Amino acid sequence: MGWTVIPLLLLIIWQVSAIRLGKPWLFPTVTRVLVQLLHPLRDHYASGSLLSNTMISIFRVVIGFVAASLAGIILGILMGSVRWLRSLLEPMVEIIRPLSPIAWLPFAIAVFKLNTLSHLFGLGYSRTILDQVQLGMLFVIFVGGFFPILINTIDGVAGVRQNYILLGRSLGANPAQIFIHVYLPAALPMILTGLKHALARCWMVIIAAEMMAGIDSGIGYLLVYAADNAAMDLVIAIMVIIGTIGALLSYFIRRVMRPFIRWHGKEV
Amino acid sequence: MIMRITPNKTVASDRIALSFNDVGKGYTSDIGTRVAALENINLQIDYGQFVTLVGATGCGKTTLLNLAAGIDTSDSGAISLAEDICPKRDVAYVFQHYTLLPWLNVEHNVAFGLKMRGISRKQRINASAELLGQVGLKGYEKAWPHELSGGMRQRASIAQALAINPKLLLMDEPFGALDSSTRRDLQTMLGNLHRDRKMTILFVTHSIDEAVILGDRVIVFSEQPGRILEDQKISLPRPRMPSDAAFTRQFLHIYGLLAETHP
Repeated sequence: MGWTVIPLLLLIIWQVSAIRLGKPWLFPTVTRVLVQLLHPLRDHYASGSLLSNTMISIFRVVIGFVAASLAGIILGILMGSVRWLRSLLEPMVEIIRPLSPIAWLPFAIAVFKLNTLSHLFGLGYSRTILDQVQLGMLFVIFVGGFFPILINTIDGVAGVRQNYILLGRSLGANPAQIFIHVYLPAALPMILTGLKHALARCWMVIIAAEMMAGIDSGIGYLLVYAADNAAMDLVIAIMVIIGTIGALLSYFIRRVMRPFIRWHGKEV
Repeated sequence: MIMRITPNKTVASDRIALSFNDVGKGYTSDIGTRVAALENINLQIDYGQFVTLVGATGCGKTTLLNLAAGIDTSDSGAISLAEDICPKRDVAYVFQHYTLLPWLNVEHNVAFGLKMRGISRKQRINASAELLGQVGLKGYEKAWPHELSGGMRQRASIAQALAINPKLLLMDEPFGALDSSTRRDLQTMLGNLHRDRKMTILFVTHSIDEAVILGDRVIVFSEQPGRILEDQKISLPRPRMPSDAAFTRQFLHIYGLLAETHP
């Protein structure tokens, strides 16, 4: 348990200095932050609780991430295996890719207005979580996740050892079987690496996107709203939540991936 | 005992499995010059024959195997397989490196060819277990390729190739990276498998020793361009002993041929 020494020390320094400073609207005590964290269902400014806003953010990320994964993997496999398609699209990808996903948000909100998934499914105002998933927001998360997945999938597929393809062919695999039983498993470690980076990026992007004007839900929104109201204990509680969820997402995706890539780096 | 055959003359046989007629193949090197990899290759291989190709590294032996496998195409001449050998179903290839799919365990590697043919899981796993027994890997069904030694990996890849019951087996220096005693064990095993299964084998090696131990015939290759220097029938009794006087004579003869072209 040696690793707990430094965090505990920092918490003690924090607590003592916050008490001495005596300005909780600027620098709250550890205990005030803990109280917030222990009441995840308390409603803040009629904008929902820590839990409900966190769930909204996670929901947005999951949908955007799944869409980015599907598109990124499919296009990545095509670009990694069809040379002319790659030379046709790669320059464009390289120009668009460095653009921050957040920079897309004003454009995306202008295009999609405040339409939500609920509108997309023709439900109008459905009084479900779907009302909180704005298409513009999804677009930005999609952009954030799409490129890491695309780039890694292309590299994974293009880097499949020619030998494995020849081996598969000599054992009688037809082109479709080569694709499913050789290209996919051989490229899987790279694809999964792309997914891991993309998920982390999506989680960063959503927080930033929710902090923009015009959004009225999500954990990033609550963060800005709390800061505007000088509720620094809530601000820090939200920061703790964002960090923890980021760490958990990364942990879970690594756990899920592990059995698929156990062989990676041990090719003989 | 030594039968010399002049190039461009066919081997008399009524049952030819694979034949190369006037095959030529070149490639363009990095600096843009045209290099002939193979020139005037005429070679007929009989059913059930174990033919070894020996020559210096880079003399076009692998190119010849790739042409036979249909991985590569020739610039001139014709390569023909006997009618009952389907290039997609009846030809298997064993490589020197990356011979097993690293994401499958040994059992599933061996069963891979059968899976591609739509054989049921139960049947192919049974077939895989039987083959692994034949190559001395009983008990390693669940092992991963990276957990095996070099010799065991080549045993597994031979089982993988045999699973599709090939009529023609192409082998590209399969034992090239093994230590000498492992190599000897695998040569013996391969010799026995050939005797029992009666398949045609085309085996590339740079070791004269290995070529004479295994082959019914040894094809000696010159380098750049790859040409057949000699087609030698080996009728020494098996198992062959490199310490044997007759063996040594044939070894030295081939050694002399290769030394002449590559001083």
